[in-house]
Amino acid sequence: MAGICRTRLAEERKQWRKDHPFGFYAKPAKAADGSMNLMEWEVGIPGKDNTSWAGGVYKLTMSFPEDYPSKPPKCKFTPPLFHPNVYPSGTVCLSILDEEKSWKPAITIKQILLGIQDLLNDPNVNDPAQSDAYTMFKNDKVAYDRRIRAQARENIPK
Amino acid sequence: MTSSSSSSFSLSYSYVEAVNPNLLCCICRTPFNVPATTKSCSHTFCWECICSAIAVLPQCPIDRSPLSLEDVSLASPIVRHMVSELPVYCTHRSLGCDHQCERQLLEHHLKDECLYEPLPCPERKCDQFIKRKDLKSHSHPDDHQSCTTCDLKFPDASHASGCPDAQVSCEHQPHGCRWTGRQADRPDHLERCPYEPLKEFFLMNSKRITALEAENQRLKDRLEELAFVFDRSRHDVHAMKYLLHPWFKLPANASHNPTTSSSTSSPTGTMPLNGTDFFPHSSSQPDEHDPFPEIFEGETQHTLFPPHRIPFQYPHLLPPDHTAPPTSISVAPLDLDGTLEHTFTSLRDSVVVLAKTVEHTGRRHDIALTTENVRVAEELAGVKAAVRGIRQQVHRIMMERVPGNEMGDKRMDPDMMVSGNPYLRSVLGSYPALTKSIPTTSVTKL
Repeated sequence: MAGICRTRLAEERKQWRKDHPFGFYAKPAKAADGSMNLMEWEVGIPGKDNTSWAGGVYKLTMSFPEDYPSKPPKCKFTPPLFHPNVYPSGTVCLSILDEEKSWKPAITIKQILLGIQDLLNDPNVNDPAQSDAYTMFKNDKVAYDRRIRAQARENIPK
Repeated sequence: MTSSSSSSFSLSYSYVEAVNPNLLCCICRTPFNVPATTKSCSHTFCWECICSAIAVLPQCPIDRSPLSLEDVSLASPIVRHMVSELPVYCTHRSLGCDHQCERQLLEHHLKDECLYEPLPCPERKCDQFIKRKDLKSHSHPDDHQSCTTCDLKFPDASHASGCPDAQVSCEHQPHGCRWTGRQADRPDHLERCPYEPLKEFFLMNSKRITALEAENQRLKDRLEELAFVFDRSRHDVHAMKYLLHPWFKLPANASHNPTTSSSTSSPTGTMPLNGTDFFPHSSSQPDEHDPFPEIFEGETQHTLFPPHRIPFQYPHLLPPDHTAPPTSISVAPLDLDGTLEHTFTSLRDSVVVLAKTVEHTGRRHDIALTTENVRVAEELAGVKAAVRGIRQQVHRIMMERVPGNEMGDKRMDPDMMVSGNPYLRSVLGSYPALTKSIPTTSVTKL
């Protein structure tokens, strides 16, 4: 089991280094002793151009369970993101990341990250995860948009 | 690496060239290892991958259709041959082996040929693995080493597990034992160590703590989700409360409200005037004090629907005096104490009463109009008869006067004739008023 998990993650890493979408980054976290921890990835997702999210690169950690890829990774924005489908803890609420909904082992890390990028500017109001962003998105689109732009400015990579 | 493990799964191959993506398992993303195909949806995976995936979730990892282990069988030979003939590098390429071969032959290469394959010490004297090429030169250099702690030149069997003089601490140090001393004394200490008998307990405890921590984390996550759901529900409830405002009350309150409101309000005069219509059940209460009994018994037709009436009047504006005849239909005030359903019922009843009133008024007007018409027609007939009688009289008088040629200037003047006749004058004088019907017989008698 664990064997599959690590093999798969090593392959994912290989594939990513060979080819990955522009603006993204994804790398296994470094443990304290400098060794690579394949089970924990640090990821950056850029906001799409021509949206309020443009310019920002949003940091995310992906934690892979031992059962991966039978079970989905847990994706968490650090720091937590202001977005209707992100829990206050930063955890992303997305159907393809829910093992009881649409997760399947065939989904690659690249597909997950592109999925989250899509979610940024296209929140799913049927499945809200934090009330602040959800209520603002429902009631005051202008203020919401302003807030998202401010957040994008805060997340411009150095 | 033993031969048994390299035969199937845990060996990770290094492929010489890029592999056709159709031969990649979508679970581990590497070329199929013991390819297995599903009968139901014909997808192919590594045998180990699909087994572990089904163990977690009995669905196809590609299309999520239901799947069980019985639906999985070895893939067709052509697929198996394609993957087993893929060229791979030797696993020990990093160590220096340049060997390349078909994947199915790698096992044989490692077992019998590869100079870089680590093998256990042939004499079983040490735990080291030695590369095949170094096997001949392998000796046990520990024989020539000296112990760093005790300066003993050729450590004997007593040094097998370390120098007996080395300073060590108790193995229960993490649990609180502070003992330190020579390695050789440790077994003695362990016999006396107060933590030794608790060894099992510590082990069990640490397992439990780990399990509890994991569960705690899971519960925290769940709590977070639930808290959010709860917030949303509370918001909804607030909205409903606001909408229902005066009618929002706890079920225990609402259940007895309709009866209490009707019975307590009636003695003070705030009970709706036509209360029996609003609350049919209240009329059946024998002890109920009805403020306007005369309205409902016998006189309803006259008192409830007088010809002109103020359509609405709040009951508290009515005189509290029971004997005073009611002058208006009144409507129940909004009963804020009752349930919403109850309020709707009473409003509906009000509308029913109102409709009845309107219908009745209409009918009365019809009857009045008809009566009036009949009377006018009768009067008209009377007048017509009177006029005919007069004409006949005038005619006769004129006929009588003509031969004698007397009063010639008067014959053409009916006014003179009328004024000469007191009876006719009284009849015609009252004609415009039309207040009394003139009996036809009295005119024709003349």
